[in-house]
Amino acid sequence: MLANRREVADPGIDNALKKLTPEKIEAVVRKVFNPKVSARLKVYLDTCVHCGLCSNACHTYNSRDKDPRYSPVGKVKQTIWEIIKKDYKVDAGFIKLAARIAFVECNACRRCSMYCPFGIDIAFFMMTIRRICHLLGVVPQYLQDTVNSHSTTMNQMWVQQDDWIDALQWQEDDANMEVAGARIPLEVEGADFMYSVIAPEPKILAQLLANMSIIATKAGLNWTMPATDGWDNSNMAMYSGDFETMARVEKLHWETALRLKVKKVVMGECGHAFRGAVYDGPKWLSWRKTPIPMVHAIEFYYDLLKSGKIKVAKKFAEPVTVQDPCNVVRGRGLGKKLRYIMNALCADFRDVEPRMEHNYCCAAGGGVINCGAPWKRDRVEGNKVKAEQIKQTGADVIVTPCHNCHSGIEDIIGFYKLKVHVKFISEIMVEVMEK
Amino acid sequence: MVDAINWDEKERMLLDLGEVKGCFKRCLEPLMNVMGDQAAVPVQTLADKWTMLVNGKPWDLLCDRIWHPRFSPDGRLTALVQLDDQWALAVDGVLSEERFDFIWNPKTSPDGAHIAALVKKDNRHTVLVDGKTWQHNYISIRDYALDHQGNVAATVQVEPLAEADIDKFFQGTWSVVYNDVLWQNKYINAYTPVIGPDGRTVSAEVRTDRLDYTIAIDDRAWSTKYECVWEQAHHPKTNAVVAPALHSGGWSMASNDGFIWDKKYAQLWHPKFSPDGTRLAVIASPTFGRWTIAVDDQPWKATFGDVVLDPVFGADSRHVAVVVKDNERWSVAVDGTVWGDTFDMCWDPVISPDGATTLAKVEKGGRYAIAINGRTGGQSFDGLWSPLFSPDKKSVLVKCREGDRFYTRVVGIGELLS
Amino acid sequence: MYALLTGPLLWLSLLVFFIGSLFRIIQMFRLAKKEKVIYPYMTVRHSLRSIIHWIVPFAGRNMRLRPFMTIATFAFHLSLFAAPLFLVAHNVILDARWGVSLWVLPETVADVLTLIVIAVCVFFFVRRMFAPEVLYVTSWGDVILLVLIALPFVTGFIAHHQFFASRAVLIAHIILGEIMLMLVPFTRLSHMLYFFFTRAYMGCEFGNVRNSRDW
Ligand code: HEM
Ligand code: SF4
Ligand code: SF4
Repeated sequence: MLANRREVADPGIDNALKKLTPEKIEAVVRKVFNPKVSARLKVYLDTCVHCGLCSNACHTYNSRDKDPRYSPVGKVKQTIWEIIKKDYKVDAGFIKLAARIAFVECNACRRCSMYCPFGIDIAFFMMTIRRICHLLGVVPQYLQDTVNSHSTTMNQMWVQQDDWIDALQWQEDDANMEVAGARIPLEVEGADFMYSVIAPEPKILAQLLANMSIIATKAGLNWTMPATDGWDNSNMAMYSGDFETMARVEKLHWETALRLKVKKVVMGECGHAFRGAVYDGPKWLSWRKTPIPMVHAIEFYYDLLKSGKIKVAKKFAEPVTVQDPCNVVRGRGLGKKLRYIMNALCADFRDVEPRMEHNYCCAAGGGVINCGAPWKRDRVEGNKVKAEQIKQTGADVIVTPCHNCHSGIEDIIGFYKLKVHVKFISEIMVEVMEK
Repeated sequence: MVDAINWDEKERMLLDLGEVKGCFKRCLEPLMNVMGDQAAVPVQTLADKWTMLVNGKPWDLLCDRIWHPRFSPDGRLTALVQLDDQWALAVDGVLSEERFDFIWNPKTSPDGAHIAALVKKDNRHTVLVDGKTWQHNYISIRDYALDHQGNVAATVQVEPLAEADIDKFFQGTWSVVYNDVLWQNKYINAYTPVIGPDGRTVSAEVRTDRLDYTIAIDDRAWSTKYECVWEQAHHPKTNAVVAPALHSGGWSMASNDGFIWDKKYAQLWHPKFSPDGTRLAVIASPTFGRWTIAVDDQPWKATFGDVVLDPVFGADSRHVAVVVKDNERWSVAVDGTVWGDTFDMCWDPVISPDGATTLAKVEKGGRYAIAINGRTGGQSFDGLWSPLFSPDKKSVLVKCREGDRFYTRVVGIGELLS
Repeated sequence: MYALLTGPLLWLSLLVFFIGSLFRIIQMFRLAKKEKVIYPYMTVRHSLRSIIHWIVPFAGRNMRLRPFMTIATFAFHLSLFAAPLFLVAHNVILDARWGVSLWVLPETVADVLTLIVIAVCVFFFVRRMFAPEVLYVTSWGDVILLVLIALPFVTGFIAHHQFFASRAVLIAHIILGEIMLMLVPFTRLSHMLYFFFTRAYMGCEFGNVRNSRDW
């Protein structure tokens, strides 16, 4: 018998379950999980041959002694198949487990879709479960709080409008001390690009904004940042199943760029934000692709280094490894450019195995880290393979061009007691570049 | 105002930045006003102070920081300035009486007569309008609207919220305030306050339940709730409110009584009434991934793949022009027909009073030009500000920068195209 | 009996197979059109790219990680097709009925292929029972289906080699074979139909949309 999962109290889930009636659950499940209206749901469901070949794709399965409940198809069995088996008459107990599986045990990293012979999109199934949970009001408390911040402030961390601008001006001053004339140009209509970031930057990692200012000033770029809402490109509503809020946030982000008459948006080092701004958001809003191009920080830095706009004075000496953020490597094919950057900035770059598209998720992505402290232990236990992978490289520093990876890997390092530091690309770049 | 433009003056040079540049450490992004009689540049003095240089003359006011300079439609120059760690609004170099912990998001009324901004005092937010701050202040203010009479409506947080208190959040912590008077009801979310043409009615998008969105007018929510709504519009004559709303997977235009359009769209937003109120133009996606303008529920045949911006009506309400983007190229479509030429960027078009001519500022190869009915002539500029038609429709007011020189010229349409 | 089975009933099973399959595919296409966000993202290039990587042995990383499984499934599926299609006896019937016949395999080769199918069915069964991640997602239906696949081959092999009262076994073989054919569109065997489409879609999601790859 498989050991029971650790009990976790989460008011966002537990309290909401008390308010549910069987009729309500059935109605919502029927409405969302309707293979009659979704070709993908139907065909994926009919096609899966129950072969289990997707299992070794998943870091949670690999990290939990190959417990089959954590294999991708195992997650589908406990959720989707159960719905079919019970003919939609599932109870609150089911929703509780389904919420845990979909919100905490799956990062929607889509690695399994590269391992299933049919390319079945298990993450899509899990997102369908999340949508059901959202409609039922069953969402982990901290994730819901993040979504509430999105719906209210259009950013992820309840950042007030004045604090946003203040943070930029303060970081501009800081950057000025490093590079004379460094700017964070606000509200410059017609600049070449708008730079957008995620809320943790002004809130807790403000020096990253100064880094951008130093880099852009040195490279002589014509850019701008908005002094209105719409500056945050992150989107946890996409992961809580609240697609209406997701869409509102993405709409504003793109309309802000359109208002500023920029030709593209460059975004900071974040993975899920890329996914929300480039794929999920536009799709819901009926844009087949983004209205203007979106450039991820990796591509942006790559171009700066490749074109010589930024030159390296002295390469970073310590041994460094890297994390491939799922949403921009598996999700955008930026693995090679990331390695170009690593080699250009670092003297001793040690690649991971498996790497690029095949690298493991950090287990923080997909909204999982935003489920907060109650779920932290499950999250880090579910990624032992990542700890082993990092350890094997022998690196002292790991570069994570994504905020979720950054925090997630910091947690893993703490839990597994690795002697490694986590850095963003921009931190190393500013350290080694000619200033 | 626009009436004050001297259409007989062929050319006027307002500023040669080259002559004064040396007196300053840095000159930032220049701007010109609507009438074309002022060119301004934020400059940093050699003593590290900031000021605005207007037609070559600096303000008397020296600040620690200056940002967001904008000309109001009546020609006044506003900027947000910092002095001794305090903030104020500067209008033509004169400071607002009060100082604030912070000031941001200044707005002017359509005629420029009124100026407002959001301000922070004692860690709370309030509104500064025409030099006076509201009596009350609020935990947070997000969106606000300023109308032609100087009225202000804003979305405000009315209940404090502890960290991660999701229960209280869903009981409603937001509302709308109009001229410092709060609505009674609390909403989960409130967005885009709009003041009606009567200057009394206020509407907003509201979220009344976890999954329910609708429009509230003077604190009364529509009885029908939707899966989602976007920004509403008031009819310029009747004051009736309409908004795009989502129901069972399709968007349509809704009013108090439910849907008023028959067709369902993949997306619908930014409704705009014509000046006379007879027509309603909305940005629409008739099928996934295609965009156009729907006028009175009739989408244009031409659709565009990338994006369609806000529709612009001509003064006679008959014509609609809009910036469109397809296959990574920008252009302008007028009444469903797209211009032949494409550009690197297009600004909002202007339709001549007789509806015969549409012009827009466009960018090609890093230089700016004026496109007239889709054609550009040989003239291009290093910088260009919103072109204007002369009352006789024969010439255009061109406000431009050539190198370091800022000019305002009255140019005949024929000459512009040559 | 034999005439009935190789005549009208063969017709029937082929009809059910083809029409059923066609029906399922058309149904899928129509649903995909209604879902709206499928076709706009698809290209032939990225579809083919993905399909090819998954019908070439060891082209994908997971196939390399599981060499034994890869060899087994490829041997199984190839034999599953080749043995019945290119069997002398089957083509004799085709020829007699409709005057058409395909290229045929030497008998010993056909025998080997049949045995491969049977052997891999046994392997699949053992794997289902003993690999925890497979057992966890195995239902009775999976086992029955596996048996239903194996039986036509077992009976065919017996009938051909005339081990037992071969007439009855032959009849059973034909019935079982026809049942298997008819099951394809309506059971998980429909993975044979859907494979190309799920692959194509994921190939485009990864390749066309995400500038990445799915193998
Ligand atoms: C191009 C066509 C096909 C492809 C790509 C394909 C692919 C696959 C794959 C990837 C598996 C998983 C291996 C496993 O079970 O562990 C599988 C299993 C299987 N396939 Fe196919 N298949 C195809 C056609 C067929 C056909 C025509 C049949 C039979 C009529 C068939 C019968 C089976 C059976 C019985 C299994 C074993 C399932 C089990 O594990 O119990 N396949 N196939
Ligand atoms: S975490 Fe990734 S690999 Fe695991 S089931 Fe979810 S999408 Fe698949
Ligand atoms: S690999 Fe694909 S077909 Fe096999 S069990 Fe996993 S999802 Fe199903």
